Formats: sequence, structure tokens, C-alpha cells
Amino acid sequence: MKKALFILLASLLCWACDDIDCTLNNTVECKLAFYDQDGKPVGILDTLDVYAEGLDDPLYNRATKQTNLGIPLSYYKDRDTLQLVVYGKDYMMEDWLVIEKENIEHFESLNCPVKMFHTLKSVSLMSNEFIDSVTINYPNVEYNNGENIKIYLHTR
Amino acid sequence: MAKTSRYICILVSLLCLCLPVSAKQSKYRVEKEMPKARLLNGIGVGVDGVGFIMKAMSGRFANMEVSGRLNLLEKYFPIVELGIGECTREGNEQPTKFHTSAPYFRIGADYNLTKKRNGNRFLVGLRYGVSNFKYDYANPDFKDEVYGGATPLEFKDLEGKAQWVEACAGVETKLWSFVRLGFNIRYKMNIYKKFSPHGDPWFVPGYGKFDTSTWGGSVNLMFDI
Repeated sequence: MKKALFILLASLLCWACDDIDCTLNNTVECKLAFYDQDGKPVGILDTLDVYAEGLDDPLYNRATKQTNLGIPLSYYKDRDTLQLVVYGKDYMMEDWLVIEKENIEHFESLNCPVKMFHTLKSVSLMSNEFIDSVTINYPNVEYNNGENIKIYLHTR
Repeated sequence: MAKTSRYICILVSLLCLCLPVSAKQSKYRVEKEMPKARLLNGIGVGVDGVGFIMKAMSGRFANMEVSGRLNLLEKYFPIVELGIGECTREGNEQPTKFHTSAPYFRIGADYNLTKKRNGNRFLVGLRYGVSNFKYDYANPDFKDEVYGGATPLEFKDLEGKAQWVEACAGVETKLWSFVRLGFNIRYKMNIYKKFSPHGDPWFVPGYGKFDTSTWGGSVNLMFDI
């Protein structure tokens, strides 16, 4: 019995474990979903680019026939202004979307990167060229969330 | 899964080592009727050696624990365990740092399955554990890859509360006179948690590396008084 206890004591002291258990899908994006004015999901048939104020490169480039898309929000600003540009062969329309939010740093494990979650406070339009209205559907922008913002398009 | 297999292997090897020893002892023992145990058969105090040794060896985490228990009828052992859980840890893949140091408390009881009173006990038991603690988390390399900008992340004194239950199984033996040595393994299940919205702690004092359930163990040096 005593021998067994000493063997076990040695085993307990020797063992160590170190798991890396990060969430597999760890992108945090604000999901924008497109609807017609009757509330049915629609895809934008022409090409859509999304830009953020202050950035040269688009956040989303040449989206076509998509009913929704995920956009990263800024980590440190309380307000993001997005420019949504739709264009075809002979036209181009653009609308500006203002998202006010709270940023919440989120860590998961010591070996996983820190992410920024967001809570949407308000969303508004600065123009109405092809977008009719916008509403917040689910305010929490985190891993694998549903549709955060519903965008109703002019379809009549 | 690998951790579970490791515990099972340890337990099986231990049982294999214990059985021949018990058989050998019983061959030479003179059979005699044992006196009936008293209701309050003794009081014991003990320390969990693993935590103190890990602390002395600058381990990444340690639960330094003392306990007090009653011996009722040599069968029932109500027990209280008090300790301080400490963890200072850095990430391997990320430049993250975690720290906590806080007290914890457990209450429960063991039941002695051994019928013979030869100094050896095979104990099974349950514990209820509580810890209210604060934890720090830092990541100096936190940056916005898309929009740009970087701010070192440093959280101090995030509040955490956790409660859990433990199912224990262990053995102990008399080393000398009033000194006993024992060990047990414990399956721990979290039943309540309230952590900061920024993130869960890596380590909960008294519980161990935080998950919905985890394994643990202790090696106890007990003194019957």
C-alpha cells in the first residue's frame, strides 16, 4: 500500500497537460442581410463593394448574388461608417451606413488570439439611393452570430 | 480523453500493486474480533502535499490546501478543506498572461469501504466547492489587423465566482503512529459560474484548469489528533 502511494505521488508530480482549445471558427464579423421591402431575403444581382471610412481597401469586394455578407468592425472606434456601392454595366449607386457600437475585448484561452466583440447600439442611413431602411436584428457581434443588421432595399 | 485514460491507468496500476500486499498481510494476520468503533473515533488535520510541492518548484499553478475531518464510527469522515489557489501562466502560442490568487473552500464527506481496521482505508466521497476570486489577463500584442491600431490589453481584478461538486475516490494508509498518507482522484463538475464578459479564467482556485468538468487529485498527509 505504501509503495503504491509513493508511486502515485511521483506520477501526480510528473504529469502536466497543455491543451490548445480555441474556437475553430473564430472570425468576428457583423452580418449584413438584404431584404426586399416586404421582408423577403433578396440577393443583390449586380456587384457590391463595401468600404469603411478611412480605409483604402474594400472590406468586401465584388459580392454578387449574395443575400448576406460579413463585415469586420473596427476595434477601437465607437462609430463605423460603411460605404455600400452597387454597380452594373452602366450605373453606380452608393449608400452610407453608420453603425454605433460598444467594443468588448474577448479572450478565450491563453493560446488563442484575443478578439473584439461588439454590441450594436444603433444603425442609420446617411443616404437612400438603393437602400430603403436598416434595422438591428441581433445586436451582439461575436462568433457565429446570426444576422446582425437587416438592410431593406428599394425593390419597387 | 487522453487525460481520462491516464487516470484510469494510474488507478488500475495502483490496484494491481495494492492487491498482493493486502493478500500477503491477511495470510499472517491472526483472526480476532475487532472492537466496535466509537461514534467520534478521532479528529484529523491534513495538508495536500502536491500544492505545496508545486509552489516550491515554481509550478504554473498550485492549490495549497489544509483540511480538517472527523472520524465517525471509522466509516464516515465529514471533511472541510480550505486552500489558496494560485496560477501565473503565459500562453505558448500567444503573448498572453494570466494570474489569479484566491482562497477556496470545500465541504463534504468520505465513506470508508474497508471493513477491516488495519490502518488502510479505501474512501469514496463527495465535495461541494466554492471560490470567489479575481483574475488578471494581459496581451501586449492586441491589434486591429483590418482597421489598424494597437492597444496593449491589460485587465486587472476581473471578478469570478464558481461553485462545483467533486466525486472522489482514494486510499490512505497509516505511515507511523498518528501519521497517515493518502491520495485521491477527483472528478469535478462545475455547477455555477459567473465570470467577466471579457472572458473566462484559465484557472479557478480549488477547481483547476477551467472547463465544464475536469479531473484533479490530491496527496494528503493527515495527522490524527
